[in-house]
Amino acid sequence: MAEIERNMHKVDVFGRSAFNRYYYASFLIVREMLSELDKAWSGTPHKSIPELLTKGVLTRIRKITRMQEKQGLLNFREASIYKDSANIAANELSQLLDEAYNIRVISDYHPEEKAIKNGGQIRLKTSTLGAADNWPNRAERYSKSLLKVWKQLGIS
Amino acid sequence: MESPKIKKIKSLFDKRKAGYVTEIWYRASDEKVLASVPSTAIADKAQGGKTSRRQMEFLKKAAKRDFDIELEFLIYRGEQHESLEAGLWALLKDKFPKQVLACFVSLPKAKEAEVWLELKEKEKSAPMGLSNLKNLIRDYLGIFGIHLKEIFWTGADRERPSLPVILKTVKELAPSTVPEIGSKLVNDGFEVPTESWLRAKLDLLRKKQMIIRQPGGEYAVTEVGHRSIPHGTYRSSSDVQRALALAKKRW
Repeated sequence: MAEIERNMHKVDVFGRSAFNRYYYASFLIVREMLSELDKAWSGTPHKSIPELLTKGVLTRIRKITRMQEKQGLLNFREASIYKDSANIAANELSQLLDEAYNIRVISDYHPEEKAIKNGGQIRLKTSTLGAADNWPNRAERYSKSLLKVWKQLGIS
Repeated sequence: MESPKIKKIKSLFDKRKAGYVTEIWYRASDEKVLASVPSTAIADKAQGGKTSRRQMEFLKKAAKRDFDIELEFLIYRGEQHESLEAGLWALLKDKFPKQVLACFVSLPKAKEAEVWLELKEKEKSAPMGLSNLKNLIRDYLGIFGIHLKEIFWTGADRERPSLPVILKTVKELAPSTVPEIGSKLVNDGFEVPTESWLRAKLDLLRKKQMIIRQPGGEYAVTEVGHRSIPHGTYRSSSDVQRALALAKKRW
């Protein structure tokens, strides 16, 4: 009995710190990308990043593509590719960080919520460790995608 | 034991038929009630067991107004979404092991997917291969009754510079020659296929009266061109870059 409890405790402790690390890795990737987009964004607090992505970043991209399309610097097809791919990248990043941040808060401040092992997967609330393992990878790829658009629009 | 706050939120959800909420809990650190919703339950319109972003906003306001409770929705990728993506990734790894570096699926709407693909060498992948890849993805999603809306390709290889980038580069270096502009673009991480490709692009900018070609063959930006270039006040801004380039230039 004590053995089982010890194991459950191990799973919990391991799971919590892993979720925490996966969140921070993703956060750092996105923050670095944001500071490359605009130095003024480098100090954005954790909680504000999801909204900065879907509002600040996307608004600027939309405004500039619209202007460049009007001036004939981009054709319709190019403008929509840039807008659409920025849109998907920013929204995915925003949702990813939102979800990961919430799990991070649970793992750090809510010990009553336990990470448990279920069917070979460690789960905390809404996330599995398997999915969290993919957070930094997704964050990296989508960040690169946003940077690319930013660069192609000549913003930086 | 259920806190009264959670009870109130539950009654609100029952009244509004918010059956898509998978879990409700109270977060003491910021005194908010959180409700988790899998991303697959979000659609354009709130109907048939689905919700919409608008409806969630509405519920947040109702919680605040009726119970003075800060409600927040936590949207997460449900297991359905995770396994859909994992399955596609496994399939692509098997069929195109050398080309596909990464693959993610987003579901912006119910039964509609946008697939994001990173290929090893996008430009060099034969068009034939790309359309096979596309068909395979469409068929796979079709099994789940999901329509493939779009595929976004990105490559690990360099991209050709857009006109705005070329214009910005001319501004930074002006007056400058075609080879100078070309090597700056390559330094900045772009692919410039040939000098005549770049010359044609510069010609396009010239016809739009954004740049001029001086008798010596050097290019410079016109006032119209200047107005078209995004600018900021940071180091990467084209104004600062231009000042730095001028400082290095030997006349």
